[in-house]
Amino acid sequence: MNAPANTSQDITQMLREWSDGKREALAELMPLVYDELRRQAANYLRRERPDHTLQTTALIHEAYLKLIDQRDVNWQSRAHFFAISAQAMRRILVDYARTKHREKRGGDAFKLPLEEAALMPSEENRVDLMALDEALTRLGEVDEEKARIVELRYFSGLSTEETATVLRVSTRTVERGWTMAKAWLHRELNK
Amino acid sequence: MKSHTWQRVNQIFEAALEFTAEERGAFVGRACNGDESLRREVESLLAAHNAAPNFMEQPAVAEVAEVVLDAKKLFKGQTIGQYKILRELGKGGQGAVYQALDTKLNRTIALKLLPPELTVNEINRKRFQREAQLASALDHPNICTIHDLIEFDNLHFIVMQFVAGRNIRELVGGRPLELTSALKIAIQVCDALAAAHAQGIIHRDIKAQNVIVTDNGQARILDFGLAKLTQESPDGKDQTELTVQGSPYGTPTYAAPEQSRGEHVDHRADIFSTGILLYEMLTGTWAFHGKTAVDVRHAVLHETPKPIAELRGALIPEGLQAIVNRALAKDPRERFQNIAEMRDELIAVLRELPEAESSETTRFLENFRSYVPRRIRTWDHRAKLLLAGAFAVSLIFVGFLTYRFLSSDVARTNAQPIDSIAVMPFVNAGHEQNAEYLSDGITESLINTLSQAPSLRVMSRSAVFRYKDKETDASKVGEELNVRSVLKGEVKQIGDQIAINVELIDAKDNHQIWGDQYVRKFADILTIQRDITQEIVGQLRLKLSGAEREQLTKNYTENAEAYQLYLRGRFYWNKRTAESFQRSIEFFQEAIDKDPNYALAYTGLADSYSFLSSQGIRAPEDVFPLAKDAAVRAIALDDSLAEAHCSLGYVKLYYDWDWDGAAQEYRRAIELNPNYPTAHHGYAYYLISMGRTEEAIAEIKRAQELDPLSLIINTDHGEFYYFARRPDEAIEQLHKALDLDSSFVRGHFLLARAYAQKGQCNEAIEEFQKAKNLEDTVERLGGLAQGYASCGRRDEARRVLNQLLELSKQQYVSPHWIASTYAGLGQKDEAFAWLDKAVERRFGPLIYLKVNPIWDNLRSDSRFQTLLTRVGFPS
Repeated sequence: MNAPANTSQDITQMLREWSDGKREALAELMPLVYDELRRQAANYLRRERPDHTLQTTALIHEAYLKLIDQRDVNWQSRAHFFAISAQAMRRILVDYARTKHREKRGGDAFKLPLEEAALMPSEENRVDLMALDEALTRLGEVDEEKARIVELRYFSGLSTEETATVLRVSTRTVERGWTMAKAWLHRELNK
Repeated sequence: MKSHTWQRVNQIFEAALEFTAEERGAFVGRACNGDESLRREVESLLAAHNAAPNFMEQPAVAEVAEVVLDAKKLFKGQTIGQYKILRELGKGGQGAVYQALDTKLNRTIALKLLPPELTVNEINRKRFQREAQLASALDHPNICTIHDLIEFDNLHFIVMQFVAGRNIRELVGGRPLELTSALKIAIQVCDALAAAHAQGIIHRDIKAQNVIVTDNGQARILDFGLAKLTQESPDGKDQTELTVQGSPYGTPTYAAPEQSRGEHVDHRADIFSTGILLYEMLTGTWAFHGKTAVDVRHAVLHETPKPIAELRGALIPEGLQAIVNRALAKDPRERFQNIAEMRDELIAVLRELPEAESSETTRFLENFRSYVPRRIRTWDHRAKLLLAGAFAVSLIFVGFLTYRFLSSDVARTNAQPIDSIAVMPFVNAGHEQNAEYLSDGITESLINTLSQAPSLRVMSRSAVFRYKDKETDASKVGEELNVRSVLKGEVKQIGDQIAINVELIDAKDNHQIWGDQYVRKFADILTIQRDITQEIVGQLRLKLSGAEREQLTKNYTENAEAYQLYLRGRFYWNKRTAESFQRSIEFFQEAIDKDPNYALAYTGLADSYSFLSSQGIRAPEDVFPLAKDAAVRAIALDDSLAEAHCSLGYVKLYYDWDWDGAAQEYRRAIELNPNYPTAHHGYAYYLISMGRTEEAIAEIKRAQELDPLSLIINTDHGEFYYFARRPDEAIEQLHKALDLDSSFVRGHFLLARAYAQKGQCNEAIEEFQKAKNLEDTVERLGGLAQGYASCGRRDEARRVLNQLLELSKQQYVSPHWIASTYAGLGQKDEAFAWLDKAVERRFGPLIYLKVNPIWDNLRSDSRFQTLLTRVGFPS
């Protein structure tokens, strides 16, 4: 995979157009962010460090530094970038989940080294990402803001404060929305 | 659900959370005010909220960590670019292999996924690419073809030919193969390896699983070049013991003893492994057994395999056991030195079998019948591509020598160790004249590197470059230079490929000790040099400490482009003319641009600037500050670089007049590399400046011992006698220097001075004239003027002096010459006035103020004392 042909200036420009309301810019932007994040996610997790932790936020920060022309950017574009990245992250992770699903159907059970297994959520807390993705899409139809909160907090690993900044709402709104969204999604997944 | 209903649900849900669990039911009932569907909605959400307090608390990525982390696995139907996975073929230490469909070309291929451990870091990845690229260039019917290298989602794959068949392990299955089958497979394996070895590629992991045999008996070797990645760390040491994927890597059963010991491995390790493979095919079992890998390695190192006939329960042809024995010799030097030889002996055995009459075997042998012409044909074909015909012929010759050498090999082990070497100037076998920098540069690099081995005496550049472009006979060179071994080489660059052919010869009997050929990407040039160095160290059995070994295999840059530019820089630097220094500066600068941490390039830069001044081309103040800056940077980058300390010592001596500082740098350089002649040479300069004439002469003699044929050291040695007012010895020494090269201007110039000192003025003037005729520069003119003056030929001295004064209006003329001419003429006022200017401009040779006879006329004058103080001499 080669690095995106687009320069960081191009990407920054697209990002600005998108924040200025040009919806088409997102369609161009999304694949670039998606590719970069996927590349980085894979890289990040395969680094030789035995202590690697799964810091999605770090990935986005790195992608941001790489993709966006740093001389010419304001906090707003940054927020927009994070918003786009969150959507991309959601797609990436769901894609991975789909891979896993297919693998399992193949009947080949995973055996992970201990230190990696330690990163896993315990069985009762596991989430079916593919089902969650579908539920989240439905949630987005009802309440887009809550779906964005879930993308930022859950898929991108942003904190409440960061999420609030990106969405330009209060932290209180994020907290409430997050609680509600979780309850709603949990119910959807257990229907 | 309607939006306003949703908002109501939200409000009631959020408000309910403010109540305790017990109160919530009542609250919701009240708030919904009889709207049952609303109440059910809120209550179900509250129930969900209570049911899983930890739901989604861990970020989503944790759910798929296993997939991301275990991305080394592919599944059926998955697409990797244009390739669609069909099934897993097998798994090995070097990654899983899948059968896949190339959807573009609609053919079946094999896709090998490399373990991410091998490709996580940039260096590994680059090496992998390099190895695979080389391997992909191998076009041989018995080698599995590599089609492509691809990267997909940060995973690295080799796309290769899909070979339908069984590997030898499956084929043997614990029972001996038929003799003809075993021989035919072994012959094909040898032939494939011979082709690979000729290109400098060693397989390193020949084993039953890596050879696939098709139903019609065609053998194909898999995984060329891959073993190198897993077995060799970037610093070049074998790491067969290292584990990959948690299991001891390597195939101890097939590994040669030197491989088992983690020593340097060459093509003869493949010969050993092929021997094991042949043994396995003939007996159905391995040559060396053991319960654990350690036991097996122990057996490989110490045991002798059971006779084949015993295990086979049948007689085998005479000669076959001998072939296996020879391939399995513990000492690589007792094995076949060339796998083609093993192949040919196997062919001979096959030919003698009664089955050779069968049509199948006849057909098989047909391919190998005229194997000698076949070799040449291969070479001819390659010649167009890569090599000149002469190069190929010399290789065959190398092979022949190798063969001849074997007989005396055992005797050699007990002979005196080889403790000296002359690296002959590598021949530029290419057609391009401007590639000379490369052949010269490789020669010089090898000299510099090898001279750091304390137990090895290495002939200096100046000693060996006399042989450049000349036909040389190793034993003659050995005699002339008093060395036991001679390294010869040829270099050829074709596009981005480089081919290097080397031969290490015992000068005593002209026997080849070792010979090899490297055909690689140009970017690999540093590795090739390191390989050659290691090979020489190994072949000569030099005893080195860890630090010395490290020093010897150190790469001063990892950037081949930077290295190439550096070599170009050195090439021009060695020419030592005004124009060539300009060019060397440009090249060194470019090298630094490519690798800003390249300390050696900085020393090159420093030396170029320094010499621009000391050769009278540029004013000191123009260039020495730049030289100093570069030298200081070089040391900052690599304090262990003797060259860098010499560069800085030179600036401190000639420009800063910082005597102690200069002495310190030179002493450090000597400490770092006691065999570095330049360091002793520089320190001698310091000593002579201090008026410590005897010590200086002793020191320059040491430099001369290390570099007996260096023109500059030889002439400076003569000059030191002149400074010591020992003209006879000066004349004798300078004649010696001129015997080395009668066109060396400085030699004539100094000889002239020595004659003048002795009062032989006619000879003196004659020599001054010769110098000027050879090199018509301002500096020579200045020398002539001073010469006339010192010989009392005042009119001529004045005439030339006027010329100098006239010239000085237009260009840089060192005030030093003008001053010395005035001094010779006895015009003290003028002499001191010009000396003042020389001091102001910090003219380098003023460091000899204390000892230089040209100032003898002025010494009694009090102004001379002032001058000495100004130059910084302790009074």
